Amino acid sequence: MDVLEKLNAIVGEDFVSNRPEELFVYSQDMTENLPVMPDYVVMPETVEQVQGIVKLANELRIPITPYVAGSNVGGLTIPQKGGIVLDLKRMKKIIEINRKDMYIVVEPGFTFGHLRKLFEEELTEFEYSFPFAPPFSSVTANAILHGLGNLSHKYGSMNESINGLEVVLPTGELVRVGSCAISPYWNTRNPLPDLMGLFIGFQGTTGIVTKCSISLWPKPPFRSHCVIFATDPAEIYNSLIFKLCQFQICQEIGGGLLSKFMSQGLLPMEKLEELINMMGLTPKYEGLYFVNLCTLGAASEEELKAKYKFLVKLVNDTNQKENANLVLLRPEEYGEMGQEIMNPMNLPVQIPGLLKEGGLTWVGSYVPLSKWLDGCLQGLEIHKKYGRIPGVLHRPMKYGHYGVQRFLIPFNKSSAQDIQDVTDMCKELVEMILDLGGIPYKMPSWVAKRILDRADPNFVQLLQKIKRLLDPNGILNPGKLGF
Amino acid sequence: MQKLKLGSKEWAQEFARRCNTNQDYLEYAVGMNTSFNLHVPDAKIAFNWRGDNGKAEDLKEGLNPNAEFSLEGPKEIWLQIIKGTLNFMDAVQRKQITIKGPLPKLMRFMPATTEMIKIIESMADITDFNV
Repeated sequence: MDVLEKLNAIVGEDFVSNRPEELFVYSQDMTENLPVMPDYVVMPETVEQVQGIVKLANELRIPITPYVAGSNVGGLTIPQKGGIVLDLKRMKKIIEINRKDMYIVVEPGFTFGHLRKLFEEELTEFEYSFPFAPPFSSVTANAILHGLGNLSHKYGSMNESINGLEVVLPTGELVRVGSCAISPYWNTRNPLPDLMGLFIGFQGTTGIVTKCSISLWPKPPFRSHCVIFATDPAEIYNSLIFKLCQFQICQEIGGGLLSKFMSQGLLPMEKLEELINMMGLTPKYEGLYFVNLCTLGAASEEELKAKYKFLVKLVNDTNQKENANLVLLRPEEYGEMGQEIMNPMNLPVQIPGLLKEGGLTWVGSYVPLSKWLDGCLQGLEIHKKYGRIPGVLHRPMKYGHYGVQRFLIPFNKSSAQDIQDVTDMCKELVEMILDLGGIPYKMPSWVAKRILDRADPNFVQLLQKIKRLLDPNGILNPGKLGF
Repeated sequence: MQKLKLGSKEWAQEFARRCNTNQDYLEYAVGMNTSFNLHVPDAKIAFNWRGDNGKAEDLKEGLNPNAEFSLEGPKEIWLQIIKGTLNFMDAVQRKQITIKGPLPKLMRFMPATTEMIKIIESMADITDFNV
């Protein structure tokens, strides 16, 4: 039997393809990273099928690239060495819902759209952190790739919500890590040696996750959304953001330095701009407004009011003591425009304005929060050099222990010059971030290499040893970790 | 409760009383030292007051030419706002209500300004909408 026949025997011929028109879809994503055609795409439905495919690939030394939605902006699902793209969309079951211990166990094809529906229809008393990403994005992929969500201000990167994993190793064995390795409960990764780290942040190079337990968090019964609007990001990042982190009054903080162009279809930026102009405020950087969304959560109306009052006081103090011009709004009090401002808070979300020219890339990183403003200002200079309109997103994570700095860069995917410009610009942004002490996440291979170039050699050796131990034939997602 | 004509002396006094007894408003308005006119030209209504950390002081009939801010709009629009059928910010955006003065200063106290608007809206219970 040839490879195609063997794959057919494992998953059935309806779920295997080597037809170029079907492989083409999997050869590229929305980024500037170069397309590479896979040789096969396979869509398993069961863990046993995943094991069968991996064992076959390991025996024949065929590279495997795991895939769910392909919606990342780091070229992570481009099959750099060809081989098999393992599309996990069909594995979308909820394996367990445990209300008392506050977790669910899901398969990798379970998406944020599925999760939203689950919260709306069944788990109404809980919430989870939703990313600024389309609804077809995978919950598991977001978690194991150090993604973030709207509640990351409180809970940190989404990997911190993982309690347990079931993983098919590159040699085909099935392992569980976390409490589920010992007991029927998938509720914690403690107090065992934390082997979760073997599969988190490795960019899919050490195993294929087939089940993932994530924490559910009780939804506060009382919530209020606020917007702090600034004409200069320094007015927020000089001191206010650190006070907001220190006092931990917000459940959610995030937003960024945005233009009308970047927020098309998402925020009513034209109306906001009109209002701001009418109020006599002028942005420090032409056409750019710092929109910071906050959510207050509380167990009672009284607590919510107290938190809001404290937020008002912090903003008023900043305005008066630092001569700032921060504007604090509660969208629910602002009629039609207020409703539109709420749009980005209804995650997950489609971002049509960003994909107008077919291409979207980013430099996403976790930086020391103390360096966010420096990174933003240096990033603006780099954008200016390349004649591009900046979009710089921010979110203080885990009450400010680190922060997200993400440059979103739309580009014309049909223009070779544009692709080259964007490639050069991303390189400059990455070097700038690394110089500031930040670390890119969900990174393309070339960024992973740059990180390893700067890393402690012993750290790199340890990574390589782990990779060799788990994947002796180097079949799983080769190149994605910079080696 | 006796209904009062929009902008009458008694109506304005009740508005000031509500401002000065609203703890939320007073907390949000710490540092908001300014002066206001409220003007309804088509109904010949005008009164002014000084805001001392938001507290309404020296309430007087007529326009104060030195007031830092003037809120101005037709009677029908004010009545719609008080009834709750028109959002104040929507009215400002549509230029049905105009705010004159150094607006960045007011924007810096948006929570207090919003609370003051809520106080105006709360006047529905004593406003006579038929006169």
